[in-house]
Amino acid sequence: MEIDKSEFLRNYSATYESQSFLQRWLRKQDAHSLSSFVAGFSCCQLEYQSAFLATNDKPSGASLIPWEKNNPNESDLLIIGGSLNFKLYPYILEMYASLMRPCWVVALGACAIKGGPYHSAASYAVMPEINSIIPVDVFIPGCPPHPETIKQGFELLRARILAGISAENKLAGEAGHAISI
Amino acid sequence: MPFPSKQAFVDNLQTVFSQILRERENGIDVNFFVSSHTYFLVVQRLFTEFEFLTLLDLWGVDNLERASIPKNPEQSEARFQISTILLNYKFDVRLKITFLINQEQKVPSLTKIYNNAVWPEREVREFFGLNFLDCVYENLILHPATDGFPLRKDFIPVTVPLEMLLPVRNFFSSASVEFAHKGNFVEWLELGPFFAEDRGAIRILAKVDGEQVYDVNMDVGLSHRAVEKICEVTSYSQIPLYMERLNYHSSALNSLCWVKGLEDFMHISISERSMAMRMVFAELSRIFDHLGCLMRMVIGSQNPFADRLFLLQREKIKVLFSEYSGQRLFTRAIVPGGLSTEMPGGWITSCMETMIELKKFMARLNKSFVRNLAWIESTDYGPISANDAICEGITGPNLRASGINYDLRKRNPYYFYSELEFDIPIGQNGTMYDRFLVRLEEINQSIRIITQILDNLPLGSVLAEQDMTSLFESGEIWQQCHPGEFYSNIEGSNGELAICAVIDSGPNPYRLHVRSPSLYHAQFFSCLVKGTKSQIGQQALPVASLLQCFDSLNIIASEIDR
Repeated sequence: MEIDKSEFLRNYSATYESQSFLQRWLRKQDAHSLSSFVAGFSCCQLEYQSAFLATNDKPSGASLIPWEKNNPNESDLLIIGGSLNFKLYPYILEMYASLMRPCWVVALGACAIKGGPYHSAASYAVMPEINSIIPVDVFIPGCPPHPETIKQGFELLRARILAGISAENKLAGEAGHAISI
Repeated sequence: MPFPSKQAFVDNLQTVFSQILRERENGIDVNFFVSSHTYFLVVQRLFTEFEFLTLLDLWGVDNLERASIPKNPEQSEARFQISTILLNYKFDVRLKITFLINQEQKVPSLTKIYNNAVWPEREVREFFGLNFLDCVYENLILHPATDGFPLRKDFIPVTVPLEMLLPVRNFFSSASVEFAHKGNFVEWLELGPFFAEDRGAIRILAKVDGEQVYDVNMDVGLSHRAVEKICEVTSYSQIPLYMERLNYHSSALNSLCWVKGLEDFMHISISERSMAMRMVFAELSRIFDHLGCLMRMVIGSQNPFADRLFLLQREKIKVLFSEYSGQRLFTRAIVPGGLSTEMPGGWITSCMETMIELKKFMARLNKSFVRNLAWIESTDYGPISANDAICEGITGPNLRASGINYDLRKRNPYYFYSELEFDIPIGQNGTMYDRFLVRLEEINQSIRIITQILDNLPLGSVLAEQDMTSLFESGEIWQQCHPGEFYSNIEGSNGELAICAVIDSGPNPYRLHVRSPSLYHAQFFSCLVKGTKSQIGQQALPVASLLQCFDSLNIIASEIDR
């Protein structure tokens, strides 16, 4: 007997976009074993540390904290915090190209999102928008963002991964778009 | 020296150079106006005869749109103005030399007298388009594809096409190292621009032979955010926002430097209570910054769980800041005229409690690091001799670790520093270990300062008497004081932080220059690794200690690049 796939998916899959059990399993694995590379070169990194490292309370699950790597080649989550200027731009591209695939990008703070306080008419050095350079999954606003906001942003990222939405696929014409919390 | 006191020295200087003397400025003891032809000779004479061994700062101004150009009796009018600040450590005399120059003329270079004039001169070249005599400089901070000279007044920003922005790879120009170690296997080690610790975006390229580093070159400018240009279109009361973000580890100290200079220039008096509270915020920032520096040094020694210990202490200071204003890093506490808001109830008590907890933590650090033989051995590298420290413009804890007793809080006390009891820790050899110890003890002294202030806090209000924002915008203030220049310097967390501003009658400053201590420390880092002439037989730095040595100078990239 042949199973109606669409009926089955609607009834039994956690996310309606899932194609197979294996794919859903893979997404769950992705969402709970993120290894991140923190490209923080400004004050936002201090608040990122506060959000995940400088807490006395025990994390509810080990997966809550993205595992930090010192090498972009070994990580699939890129966290960019700080203002991007023209001299830094090629290195950002290089770093994005060397990430493991599939990958996700989080823009931390106002500077990374749209130049922040440095996005001024007089400024000649700061890149206007990060989303025009690399596809970004989650924007976390604030100058610098509060640790609670950062945690909230990472929950959103996890939900996106589970649902199979990725900004990386945007270029390929698949479903996916950047959202701000 | 025949001079018994500072005043006698200044008087003698003024009589010798009486023809080129200029009116006194805030923060400057002697002010000269020379012509571009005599500039080099005057500086040489000051260096040899009057022992002005340190070049503190060098910056340029474009006088194109300036309403009140200072009249130079020595020279006809010209478009650009270059100023130099020299320091005599013996009498603590700061001297400013200014001269005018046109675009066609070549600027005399000071690199033959002062080693550390290279980076400031390179900056002047790329931002103003002025060329130096006998020196060919490449861009230091800007990308080579940048069109035009940004700090000129007629500069129009042009969007660079992104295809033009190739990475600047071959910045290692000197081939001397490869030549010297020709027989050996020399490797290139490229570090950065992204680090796991918060140093900012900076690239370090090291030449490595086996386990030892022989040469290091730095690539800065990766976090250049055009703060000096943006400040020229920002109103006076908004500038603390940009100043706080320059060195984000010590936000209150940066804004204090700007606000204090502006208030001195405009003769705005503030209440005693706000002075005392400003000192509390400044010292809290100093503790925060030093803890960060110590944290990076300890992580560098492959201690995996050390960062959490320090981060928890830093968190307490962040919580104090957020209790005051809601912001955890940038409080905007220090504004012209006083503080932004009154202290919330119970803030002073919680500040005292935090100090007690910090004191316990410092005792713990003392126990585990100060007499730890493994730690002493692993940090016994990178000595800075007292001679180098003076000649290379090194300031702050790094200078004191080399054994020179110089702290602006003692030498030139502002606010209530002269009435407090605190000591200045001094190192002996200037190694990484000494720098660690000096910072460790400075945290203890800062705790001492804060507890003394909070015990004797003056009564009154901390708010400004009049609305400063409307005062600056209405322009009434300009009828009281005439336009000019000022130089404001304080003891920052990692060195002497200074702001040089040109005030013209208008809602924004005409030009604002920040003397960032990190710039001179980063410039000296390659000399430190190579070993200077005065340190023959110095141990070569191991690769494992390279970043630790870099961190021991407490260099923050966003402060270098501005």
